[in-house]
Amino acid sequence: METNHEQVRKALGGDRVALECLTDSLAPVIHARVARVLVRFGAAASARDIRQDVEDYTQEVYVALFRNGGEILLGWSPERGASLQNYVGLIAQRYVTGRLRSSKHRTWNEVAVDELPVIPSESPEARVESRELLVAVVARLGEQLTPQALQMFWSLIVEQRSVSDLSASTGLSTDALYMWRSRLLRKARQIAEEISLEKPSSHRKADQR
Amino acid sequence: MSNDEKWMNALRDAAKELDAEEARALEEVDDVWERLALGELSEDERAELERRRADPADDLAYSAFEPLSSDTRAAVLDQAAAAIQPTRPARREATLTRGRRWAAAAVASAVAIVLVLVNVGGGSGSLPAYELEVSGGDRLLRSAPADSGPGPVRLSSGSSFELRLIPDERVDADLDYDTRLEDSEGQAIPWEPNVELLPAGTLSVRGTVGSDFPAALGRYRVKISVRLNGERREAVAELEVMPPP
Repeated sequence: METNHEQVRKALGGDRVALECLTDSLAPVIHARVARVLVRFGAAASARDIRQDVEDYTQEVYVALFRNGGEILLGWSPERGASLQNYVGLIAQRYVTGRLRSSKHRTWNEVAVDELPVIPSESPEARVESRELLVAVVARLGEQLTPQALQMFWSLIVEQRSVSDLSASTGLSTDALYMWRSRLLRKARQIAEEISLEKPSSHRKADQR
Repeated sequence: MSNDEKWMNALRDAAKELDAEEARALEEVDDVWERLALGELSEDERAELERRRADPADDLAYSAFEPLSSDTRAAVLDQAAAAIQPTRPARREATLTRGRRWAAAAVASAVAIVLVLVNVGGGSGSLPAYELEVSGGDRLLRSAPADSGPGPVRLSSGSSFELRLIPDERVDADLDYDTRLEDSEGQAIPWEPNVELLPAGTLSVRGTVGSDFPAALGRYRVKISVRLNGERREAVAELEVMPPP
């Protein structure tokens, strides 16, 4: 029997039968995770609305798996423990959750961006403030990143997979992956700056102290 | 430890914290619903869920988790197959994304839709050809009649959209980019869209009518371009803000 890994390679190579098998195996998993997120966090007014959203997101995530030469699918490594279904399900779950977050409603305290990242020697209060801001930054990243970018964020920043390991599995050059990492960090800093500018009056007070 | 490493570690910890918090919340949804989506329920179990639909919350859940139809699966399959294509079509034609693909698969002739790709410039070879892709718009228009022909992307207050300028080949260089919003008479309108230059050279421009895109009814023209070594690729999309459906 074909492994998932072989099936992915064949499907990405244009083998229609392999793609059909993969679709039968993965589309229901993505659908189930998307539906779970929308039922738990969504605000659909009617059964018809939620069904439409479920189908839209399922399609968006599924097609994203195959974009750019299948970067996301190729990033799956069975050696890391998760089945292909769980890997794809998590991507769907994180992407849709991110889209439904309303970070504007999250609360965080003000910290100057140039104080980031958190330094362990700071006071307990400063650590809490920084932590809240960082969570807000991550929440907003989830709102803004594409499925591919979000998966890169998880692989390179959260799981901190080595560039060489990721390059070997995805086929992306190490230069391209370093560029991904650099841009994601720049994006996160940019969001942190945006958040800090949303409450300028607090900063002015801080400046006056 | 470098500042980048500290920043990465801080983001990692925050992401894990948020992920764990949300995963706990998702566990509150009864697993029986997910088994419905996966087609793992017995006839009796499914009949029981159908009986529960008298409750509005259960009706909503049933609608969300009801298995994908064969038509929907076929549409997903076709879109995935299209995404795998090793070469993009020579004709620079707008393609459809979220919120529109289902209809595109079901009504193939409606693909002629709603977006005009005006200009993909030539050059000396620093930049490959680019293709414009659009997503967003109002749901009603997803089912636009096949004979509606090309026209603007129609939006209403609260609608979000995304324009993507996608290279035919990977571009691993730092590109410059421009965005410009014009009214129907070609007058520039101050605009600060959410722009993201993605790795591999794709430019993503997002907006939401009413928050970072004008809500006033009428037609608008969005110009987006990327530049490298004096070469430029530019696309123009027409968007129309309509009254809410």
